[in-house]
Amino acid sequence: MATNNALNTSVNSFLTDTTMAAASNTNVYTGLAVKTYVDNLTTVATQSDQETATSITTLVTPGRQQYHPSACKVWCAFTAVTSTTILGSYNVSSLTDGGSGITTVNFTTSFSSTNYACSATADRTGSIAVTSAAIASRATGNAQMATYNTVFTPTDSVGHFIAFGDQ
Amino acid sequence: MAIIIVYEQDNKLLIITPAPEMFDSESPTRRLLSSNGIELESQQEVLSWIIHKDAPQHVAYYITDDSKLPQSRIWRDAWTYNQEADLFGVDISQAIAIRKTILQGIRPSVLSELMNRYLMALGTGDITLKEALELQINALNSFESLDFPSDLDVLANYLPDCFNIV
Repeated sequence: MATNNALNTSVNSFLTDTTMAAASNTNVYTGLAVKTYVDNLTTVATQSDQETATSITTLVTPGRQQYHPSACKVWCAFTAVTSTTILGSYNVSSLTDGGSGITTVNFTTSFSSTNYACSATADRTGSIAVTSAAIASRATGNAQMATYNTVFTPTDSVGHFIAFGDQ
Repeated sequence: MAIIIVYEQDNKLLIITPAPEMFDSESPTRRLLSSNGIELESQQEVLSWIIHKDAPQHVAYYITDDSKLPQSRIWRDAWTYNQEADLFGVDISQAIAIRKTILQGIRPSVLSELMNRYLMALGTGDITLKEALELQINALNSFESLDFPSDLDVLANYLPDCFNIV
Protein backbone atom coordinates (compact mmCIF):
# COMPACT_ATOMS: atom_id res chain seq x y z
CA MET A 1 0.00 0.00 0.00
CA ALA A 2 1.35 3.40 -1.01
CA THR A 3 0.63 6.60 0.91
CA ASN A 4 0.26 10.09 -0.56
CA ASN A 5 0.86 12.62 2.18
CA ALA A 6 -0.24 15.60 0.10
CA LEU A 7 -3.68 14.08 -0.49
CA ASN A 8 -3.63 12.58 2.96
CA THR A 9 -4.84 9.32 1.47
CA SER A 10 -3.48 5.93 0.51
CA VAL A 11 -3.79 3.74 -2.57
CA ASN A 12 -5.51 0.49 -1.94
CA SER A 13 -5.21 -1.18 -5.34
CA PHE A 14 -4.38 -0.82 -9.02
CA LEU A 15 -7.24 -0.96 -11.56
CA THR A 16 -7.04 -2.35 -15.10
CA ASP A 17 -10.56 -1.52 -16.27
CA THR A 18 -10.07 0.19 -19.66
CA THR A 19 -13.41 1.98 -19.45
CA MET A 20 -12.26 3.75 -16.26
CA ALA A 21 -15.80 3.47 -14.94
CA ALA A 22 -14.92 3.63 -11.26
CA ALA A 23 -14.00 6.94 -9.61
CA SER A 24 -12.05 6.65 -6.41
CA ASN A 25 -9.30 8.45 -4.49
CA THR A 26 -7.91 5.19 -3.19
CA ASN A 27 -7.56 3.16 -6.41
CA VAL A 28 -5.16 3.93 -9.29
CA TYR A 29 -5.56 2.92 -12.93
CA THR A 30 -2.57 1.27 -14.57
CA GLY A 31 -0.74 2.95 -17.42
CA LEU A 32 -2.12 0.41 -19.89
CA ALA A 33 -5.67 1.02 -18.70
CA VAL A 34 -5.25 4.78 -19.13
CA LYS A 35 -3.63 4.43 -22.56
CA THR A 36 -6.35 2.09 -23.81
CA TYR A 37 -9.03 4.41 -22.46
CA VAL A 38 -7.50 7.44 -24.21
CA ASP A 39 -6.93 5.48 -27.42
CA ASN A 40 -10.58 4.46 -27.43
CA LEU A 41 -11.59 8.04 -26.86
CA THR A 42 -9.63 9.20 -29.88
CA THR A 43 -10.72 6.54 -32.36
CA VAL A 44 -11.16 8.42 -35.63
CA ALA A 45 -14.23 7.75 -37.71
CA THR A 46 -13.56 6.11 -41.06
CA GLN A 47 -15.56 6.91 -44.20
CA SER A 48 -17.61 3.79 -43.46
CA ASP A 49 -18.24 4.96 -39.87
CA GLN A 50 -19.45 8.27 -41.21
CA GLU A 51 -21.70 6.70 -43.82
CA THR A 52 -23.16 4.28 -41.28
CA ALA A 53 -23.65 7.20 -38.90
CA THR A 54 -24.40 5.13 -35.79
CA SER A 55 -21.26 5.36 -33.62
CA ILE A 56 -21.37 7.63 -30.60
CA THR A 57 -17.79 6.94 -29.48
CA THR A 58 -15.65 7.68 -32.55
CA LEU A 59 -14.48 11.18 -33.35
CA VAL A 60 -14.96 12.97 -36.66
CA THR A 61 -12.07 14.72 -38.37
CA PRO A 62 -12.40 17.54 -40.92
CA GLY A 63 -11.18 15.28 -43.70
CA ARG A 64 -14.02 12.81 -43.24
CA GLN A 65 -16.98 14.80 -41.95
CA GLN A 66 -18.31 15.19 -45.49
CA TYR A 67 -19.15 11.47 -45.68
CA HIS A 68 -21.95 11.74 -43.10
CA PRO A 69 -25.44 11.43 -44.66
CA SER A 70 -26.41 14.79 -43.23
CA ALA A 71 -23.43 16.64 -44.73
CA CYS A 72 -23.71 18.83 -47.81
CA LYS A 73 -21.86 17.01 -50.59
CA VAL A 74 -21.78 19.77 -53.19
CA TRP A 75 -22.31 23.51 -53.08
CA CYS A 76 -21.69 26.31 -55.51
CA ALA A 77 -22.43 30.01 -55.81
CA PHE A 78 -21.89 31.62 -59.17
CA THR A 79 -22.86 34.52 -61.36
CA ALA A 80 -23.73 34.16 -65.01
CA VAL A 81 -24.89 37.74 -65.49
CA THR A 82 -21.90 39.10 -67.41
CA SER A 83 -19.76 35.99 -67.63
CA THR A 84 -19.73 32.75 -65.71
CA THR A 85 -17.78 33.30 -62.51
CA ILE A 86 -17.66 30.78 -59.69
CA LEU A 87 -17.90 32.76 -56.45
CA GLY A 88 -17.31 29.79 -54.16
CA SER A 89 -17.72 26.03 -54.32
CA TYR A 90 -17.02 22.63 -52.84
CA ASN A 91 -16.75 19.39 -54.77
CA VAL A 92 -17.29 21.26 -58.05
CA SER A 93 -14.87 20.75 -60.91
CA SER A 94 -16.46 23.17 -63.35
CA LEU A 95 -19.63 24.85 -64.55
CA THR A 96 -20.92 24.39 -68.07
CA ASP A 97 -22.67 27.42 -69.53
CA GLY A 98 -25.26 25.87 -71.84
CA GLY A 99 -26.92 29.13 -72.85
CA SER A 100 -28.93 31.88 -71.20
CA GLY A 101 -30.05 30.74 -67.78
CA ILE A 102 -28.79 27.17 -68.27
CA THR A 103 -25.88 26.01 -66.09
CA THR A 104 -24.58 22.52 -65.44
CA VAL A 105 -22.77 21.96 -62.16
CA ASN A 106 -20.10 19.28 -62.61
CA PHE A 107 -19.03 17.37 -59.48
CA THR A 108 -15.48 16.24 -58.76
CA THR A 109 -16.80 13.22 -56.83
CA SER A 110 -19.97 11.67 -58.21
CA PHE A 111 -22.96 10.47 -56.24
CA SER A 112 -23.49 6.74 -55.95
CA SER A 113 -26.87 7.07 -57.68
CA THR A 114 -29.19 9.77 -58.95
CA ASN A 115 -31.26 9.43 -55.78
CA TYR A 116 -29.69 12.50 -54.23
CA ALA A 117 -31.45 15.66 -53.18
CA CYS A 118 -30.46 18.96 -54.71
CA SER A 119 -31.74 22.47 -54.83
CA ALA A 120 -31.21 25.45 -57.10
CA THR A 121 -31.99 29.05 -56.29
CA ALA A 122 -31.25 32.39 -57.90
CA ASP A 123 -30.82 35.99 -56.85
CA ARG A 124 -32.96 38.70 -58.29
CA THR A 125 -30.25 40.64 -60.11
CA GLY A 126 -31.03 44.33 -60.43
CA SER A 127 -33.86 44.90 -62.86
CA ILE A 128 -33.78 41.32 -64.15
CA ALA A 129 -36.89 39.64 -62.85
CA VAL A 130 -35.62 36.14 -62.18
CA THR A 131 -38.61 34.50 -60.61
CA SER A 132 -37.71 30.85 -60.38
CA ALA A 133 -34.92 28.31 -60.56
CA ALA A 134 -35.23 24.61 -61.17
CA ILE A 135 -33.22 21.45 -61.60
CA ALA A 136 -33.55 20.67 -65.30
CA SER A 137 -31.80 17.30 -65.25
CA ARG A 138 -29.46 15.28 -63.10
CA ALA A 139 -26.89 12.54 -63.39
CA THR A 140 -24.55 11.04 -60.81
CA GLY A 141 -21.75 13.35 -61.89
CA ASN A 142 -23.59 16.59 -62.58
CA ALA A 143 -26.87 18.46 -62.40
CA GLN A 144 -28.25 21.05 -64.75
CA MET A 145 -30.15 24.00 -63.35
CA ALA A 146 -32.17 26.66 -65.10
CA THR A 147 -33.24 30.11 -63.96
CA TYR A 148 -36.31 31.74 -65.47
CA ASN A 149 -37.85 35.17 -65.83
CA THR A 150 -41.51 36.09 -65.40
CA VAL A 151 -42.52 34.58 -68.75
CA PHE A 152 -40.59 31.37 -68.03
CA THR A 153 -37.76 32.14 -70.42
CA PRO A 154 -34.31 31.00 -69.21
CA THR A 155 -32.51 34.09 -67.91
CA ASP A 156 -28.99 34.62 -66.57
CA SER A 157 -28.68 35.31 -62.87
CA VAL A 158 -26.63 34.81 -59.75
CA GLY A 159 -27.25 31.16 -58.94
CA HIS A 160 -26.80 28.80 -56.02
CA PHE A 161 -26.71 25.03 -55.95
CA ILE A 162 -26.54 22.52 -53.09
CA ALA A 163 -26.80 18.73 -53.02
CA PHE A 164 -27.07 16.03 -50.35
CA GLY A 165 -26.83 12.28 -50.72
CA ASP A 166 -24.56 9.26 -50.79
CA GLN A 167 -21.32 9.39 -52.73
CA MET B 1 -8.57 31.97 -66.58
CA ALA B 2 -8.70 29.19 -69.14
CA ILE B 3 -12.13 28.16 -70.38
CA ILE B 4 -13.11 25.26 -72.60
CA ILE B 5 -15.27 25.77 -75.69
CA VAL B 6 -17.25 22.85 -77.03
CA TYR B 7 -19.67 22.61 -79.94
CA GLU B 8 -22.29 19.98 -79.28
CA GLN B 9 -23.57 17.89 -82.14
CA ASP B 10 -26.56 20.20 -82.60
CA ASN B 11 -24.07 23.09 -83.02
CA LYS B 12 -24.87 24.42 -79.58
CA LEU B 13 -21.96 26.27 -78.00
CA LEU B 14 -21.00 25.16 -74.49
CA ILE B 15 -18.55 27.06 -72.32
CA ILE B 16 -16.94 25.16 -69.46
CA THR B 17 -15.47 27.25 -66.65
CA PRO B 18 -13.19 25.32 -64.25
CA ALA B 19 -13.74 25.97 -60.55
CA PRO B 20 -10.88 28.09 -59.12
CA GLU B 21 -10.70 25.64 -56.19
CA MET B 22 -9.50 23.01 -58.66
CA PHE B 23 -6.25 24.92 -59.15
CA ASP B 24 -5.53 25.21 -55.42
CA SER B 25 -3.98 21.94 -54.25
CA GLU B 26 -4.83 22.84 -50.63
CA SER B 27 -8.53 23.53 -51.24
CA PRO B 28 -11.11 21.23 -49.65
CA THR B 29 -12.22 20.15 -53.12
CA ARG B 30 -8.70 19.06 -54.08
CA ARG B 31 -8.23 17.36 -50.71
CA LEU B 32 -11.44 15.46 -51.31
CA LEU B 33 -10.07 14.37 -54.67
CA SER B 34 -6.82 13.29 -53.05
CA SER B 35 -8.72 11.25 -50.48
CA ASN B 36 -10.30 9.45 -53.43
CA GLY B 37 -6.86 8.72 -54.86
CA ILE B 38 -6.82 11.37 -57.56
CA GLU B 39 -3.64 13.44 -57.51
CA LEU B 40 -3.21 16.23 -60.04
CA GLU B 41 0.29 17.63 -60.26
CA SER B 42 -0.02 20.67 -62.51
CA GLN B 43 -2.55 23.14 -63.85
CA GLN B 44 -2.39 21.38 -67.21
CA GLU B 45 -3.24 18.10 -65.52
CA VAL B 46 -6.19 19.75 -63.78
CA LEU B 47 -7.46 21.16 -67.07
CA SER B 48 -7.05 17.82 -68.84
CA TRP B 49 -8.88 16.03 -66.05
CA ILE B 50 -11.79 18.49 -66.25
CA ILE B 51 -11.97 18.19 -70.04
CA HIS B 52 -11.96 14.40 -69.83
CA LYS B 53 -14.67 14.37 -67.16
CA ASP B 54 -16.91 17.36 -67.94
CA ALA B 55 -16.73 17.96 -71.69
CA PRO B 56 -19.01 15.95 -73.99
CA GLN B 57 -17.19 13.03 -75.54
CA HIS B 58 -16.38 12.67 -79.24
CA VAL B 59 -16.62 16.36 -80.05
CA ALA B 60 -13.87 18.88 -80.62
CA TYR B 61 -12.97 21.27 -77.85
CA TYR B 62 -10.94 24.44 -77.75
CA ILE B 63 -9.18 26.15 -74.89
CA THR B 64 -9.12 29.91 -74.73
CA ASP B 65 -9.02 32.63 -72.11
CA ASP B 66 -12.19 33.98 -70.51
CA SER B 67 -11.09 37.51 -71.46
CA LYS B 68 -12.05 36.60 -75.04
CA LEU B 69 -15.71 36.23 -74.10
CA PRO B 70 -18.11 38.96 -75.29
CA GLN B 71 -18.67 41.66 -72.68
CA SER B 72 -22.44 41.27 -72.78
CA ARG B 73 -24.43 38.05 -72.58
CA ILE B 74 -27.49 39.54 -74.27
CA TRP B 75 -26.78 37.43 -77.39
CA ARG B 76 -25.44 34.41 -75.49
CA ASP B 77 -27.66 31.94 -77.32
CA ALA B 78 -26.41 33.31 -80.66
CA TRP B 79 -22.70 33.17 -79.85
CA THR B 80 -20.33 31.53 -82.28
CA TYR B 81 -16.65 30.78 -81.87
CA ASN B 82 -14.01 30.89 -84.59
CA GLN B 83 -11.21 28.72 -83.28
CA GLU B 84 -8.71 29.82 -85.96
CA ALA B 85 -9.07 33.49 -85.11
CA ASP B 86 -9.83 32.72 -81.45
CA LEU B 87 -12.78 35.09 -81.65
CA PHE B 88 -16.37 34.96 -80.52
CA GLY B 89 -19.08 36.26 -82.83
CA VAL B 90 -22.86 36.47 -83.03
CA ASP B 91 -25.14 34.66 -85.48
CA ILE B 92 -27.48 37.44 -86.61
CA SER B 93 -30.41 35.15 -87.42
CA GLN B 94 -30.17 33.65 -83.94
CA ALA B 95 -29.91 37.14 -82.46
CA ILE B 96 -33.11 38.19 -84.24
CA ALA B 97 -34.82 35.06 -82.92
CA ILE B 98 -33.73 36.04 -79.38
CA ARG B 99 -35.17 39.55 -79.81
CA LYS B 100 -38.42 38.10 -81.15
CA THR B 101 -38.69 35.83 -78.10
CA ILE B 102 -38.27 38.84 -75.82
CA LEU B 103 -40.96 40.72 -77.75
CA GLN B 104 -43.25 37.69 -77.52
CA GLY B 105 -43.04 38.13 -73.77
CA ILE B 106 -44.01 41.80 -73.99
CA ARG B 107 -46.78 41.31 -76.57
CA PRO B 108 -49.62 40.08 -74.27
CA SER B 109 -49.60 43.20 -72.09
CA VAL B 110 -49.50 45.49 -75.15
CA LEU B 111 -52.29 43.50 -76.78
CA SER B 112 -54.40 43.73 -73.64
CA GLU B 113 -54.05 47.51 -73.52
CA LEU B 114 -54.89 47.84 -77.24
CA MET B 115 -57.97 45.66 -76.80
CA ASN B 116 -59.17 47.86 -73.94
CA ARG B 117 -58.76 50.93 -76.12
CA TYR B 118 -60.48 49.18 -79.01
CA LEU B 119 -63.53 48.40 -76.85
CA MET B 120 -63.61 52.00 -75.64
CA ALA B 121 -63.46 53.22 -79.27
CA LEU B 122 -66.37 50.92 -80.08
CA GLY B 123 -68.30 52.33 -77.14
CA THR B 124 -67.71 55.94 -78.11
CA GLY B 125 -68.25 55.28 -81.81
CA ASP B 126 -64.79 56.61 -82.75
CA ILE B 127 -64.50 54.83 -86.08
CA THR B 128 -61.13 56.34 -86.99
CA LEU B 129 -59.53 55.21 -83.75
CA LYS B 130 -61.22 51.80 -83.98
CA GLU B 131 -59.79 51.20 -87.48
CA ALA B 132 -56.34 52.37 -86.43
CA LEU B 133 -56.40 50.02 -83.46
CA GLU B 134 -57.55 47.12 -85.65
CA LEU B 135 -54.54 47.68 -87.89
CA GLN B 136 -52.17 47.87 -84.93
CA ILE B 137 -53.61 44.73 -83.32
CA ASN B 138 -53.25 42.83 -86.59
CA ALA B 139 -49.67 44.04 -86.94
CA LEU B 140 -48.93 43.03 -83.36
CA ASN B 141 -50.29 39.54 -83.96
CA SER B 142 -47.97 39.04 -86.92
CA PHE B 143 -44.95 41.08 -85.79
CA GLU B 144 -42.59 38.16 -86.27
CA SER B 145 -42.94 38.48 -90.05
CA LEU B 146 -41.58 42.04 -89.96
CA ASP B 147 -38.03 42.83 -91.05
CA PHE B 148 -35.73 43.23 -88.08
CA PRO B 149 -32.52 45.30 -88.09
CA SER B 150 -29.25 43.44 -88.55
CA ASP B 151 -27.21 45.91 -86.50
CA LEU B 152 -26.83 44.25 -83.08
CA ASP B 153 -26.79 47.55 -81.19
CA VAL B 154 -30.05 48.61 -82.84
CA LEU B 155 -31.54 45.15 -82.54
CA ALA B 156 -30.88 45.03 -78.78
CA ASN B 157 -33.62 47.59 -78.11
CA TYR B 158 -35.64 47.29 -81.32
CA LEU B 159 -39.37 47.77 -80.81
CA PRO B 160 -41.62 47.53 -83.89
CA ASP B 161 -44.11 50.41 -84.24
CA CYS B 162 -47.02 48.11 -83.44
CA PHE B 163 -45.67 47.80 -79.85
CA ASN B 164 -45.95 51.55 -79.23
CA ILE B 165 -49.12 52.58 -77.44
CA VAL B 166 -49.84 56.19 -78.28
